[in-house]
Amino acid sequence: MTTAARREPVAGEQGRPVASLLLRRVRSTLLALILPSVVVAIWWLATALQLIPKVFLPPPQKVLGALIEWITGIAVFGDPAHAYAGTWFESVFSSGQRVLAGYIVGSVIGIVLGGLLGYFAFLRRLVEPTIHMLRAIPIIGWLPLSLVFFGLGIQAAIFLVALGVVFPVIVNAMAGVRGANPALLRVGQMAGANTFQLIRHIIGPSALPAIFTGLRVAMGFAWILVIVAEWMAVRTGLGFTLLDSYNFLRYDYVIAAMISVGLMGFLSDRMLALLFRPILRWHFETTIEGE
Amino acid sequence: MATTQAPPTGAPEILVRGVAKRFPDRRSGRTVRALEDVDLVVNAGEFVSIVGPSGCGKSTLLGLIAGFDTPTAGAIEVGGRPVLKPGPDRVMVFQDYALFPWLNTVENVEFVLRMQGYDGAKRKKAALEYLDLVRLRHVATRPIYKLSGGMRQRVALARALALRPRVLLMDEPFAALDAQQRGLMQRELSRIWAETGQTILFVTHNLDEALYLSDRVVLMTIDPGQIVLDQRMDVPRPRDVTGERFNELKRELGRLLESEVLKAEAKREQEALA
Repeated sequence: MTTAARREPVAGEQGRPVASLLLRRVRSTLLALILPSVVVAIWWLATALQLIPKVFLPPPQKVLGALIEWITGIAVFGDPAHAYAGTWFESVFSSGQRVLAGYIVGSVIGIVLGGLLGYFAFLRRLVEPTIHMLRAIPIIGWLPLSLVFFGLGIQAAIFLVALGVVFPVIVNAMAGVRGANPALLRVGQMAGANTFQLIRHIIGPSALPAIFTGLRVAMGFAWILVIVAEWMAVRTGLGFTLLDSYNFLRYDYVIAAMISVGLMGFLSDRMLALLFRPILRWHFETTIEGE
Repeated sequence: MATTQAPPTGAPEILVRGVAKRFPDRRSGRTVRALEDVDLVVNAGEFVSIVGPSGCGKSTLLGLIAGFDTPTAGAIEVGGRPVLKPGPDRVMVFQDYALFPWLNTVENVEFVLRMQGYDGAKRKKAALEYLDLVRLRHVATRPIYKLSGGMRQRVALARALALRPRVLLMDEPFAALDAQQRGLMQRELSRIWAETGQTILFVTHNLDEALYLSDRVVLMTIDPGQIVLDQRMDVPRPRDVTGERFNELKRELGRLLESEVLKAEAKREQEALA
């Protein structure tokens, strides 16, 4: 009776309203939309008041029109349809494919190599300086060589994406392994675990939060590099559409492509976060990262 | 010597003979003598505590017995076999619990059983039995980060006992707990020790804790780290901490410990000035 009476008020465990989860989602979405809205508003004002000539910067509604035309193939402002009308999904698919392939190759190599370098001190002394030297080279600098080795085509794009992904993943996986609590390893040793079991059950989970950080950073690089690769190595995808539209002076399509890439990057990051959330709950619950 | 209680001791479980641990101090360039000529015997079923000023090498000694490190000189045997590396016959309980944060309570206990080759339902059942021993079965599926410090240390204790070690090594296990939790844990450990007959070597800086729990209290000194006193606690259990003999021993050992602490402080000051 007393418990029933206590359960009565509409309150969560910490006395928060029960409906707060949905409400919080809506609120944080609205919060995230404030900044883009302000940018679009300023952009619209700048073009409406002719502060920036229309030739250089199309107004937001024109870009939206181009985006709709690009996606659906239907001309919005009665313009003659652009050559790329209706090809959006195709472009997203081909860019996405390259990102995914390069990302998987780069992150698998990065996690394995970073893990080994973190665990074996000798290997680290042997290889780490070279890695820091190599990662200082802008990935775009690899473009000529990748064209020489892989020629024009998807392999060059995948190579560049993988190269951009591998370094942040290596550095973070290495730091994650080195940050493992030695007492946990001692527990494993006392229990009779072999090296493989120590890696699988103790070092791996310990390094996972850092690996997640590396994978997130790398996802951003992957989308940057696929665009660069598509300027030079391949003749399809969001990046190619972006560059080609510039050649035709269609800045509305250029900006629509920029927005599309940004959106893809954002969505991939979200997917990554959703993938890792259940296995990193212990980490999020004990750090301010979870708030 | 007449004791009020037959000591629950059998054959020697831990045998430490002439052990030294020295290492170079990088800053001063001189050799630190963390341990020098240490002899210690702990018999089966005994509860022995080591007290001493911080830096006297008591944790170092525990680490050597666990096999985390090797002595510069001397020999260590546990259960008649020389200590070469960490093993399930000598399990350490750490001050910061060293629980796996990504596993829940019962999974933490199950982990060591899994490494020992147990699997499936048998492993789960055994893990739950050890949680029963520390009275934590009701939180078996709770994540570690939702447990209090005292509960975490009980999980760590259950996990250590699940390996059925010959000796349990405890390195200031209750130092991170508040006074109330510490009191609870001391009584809990005392009960578990009585129930299991487990041989325990316990390091603490808290003399009251050592006096309350132990069959013998070993006092160590700093620089070089050495044993200066090995006192049998001839006070019947359960111990009355207000009793005459208990407080007699407390005064005596307290005086010695205090002079050791002062000596250690003076040495540290000297070093800081040098």
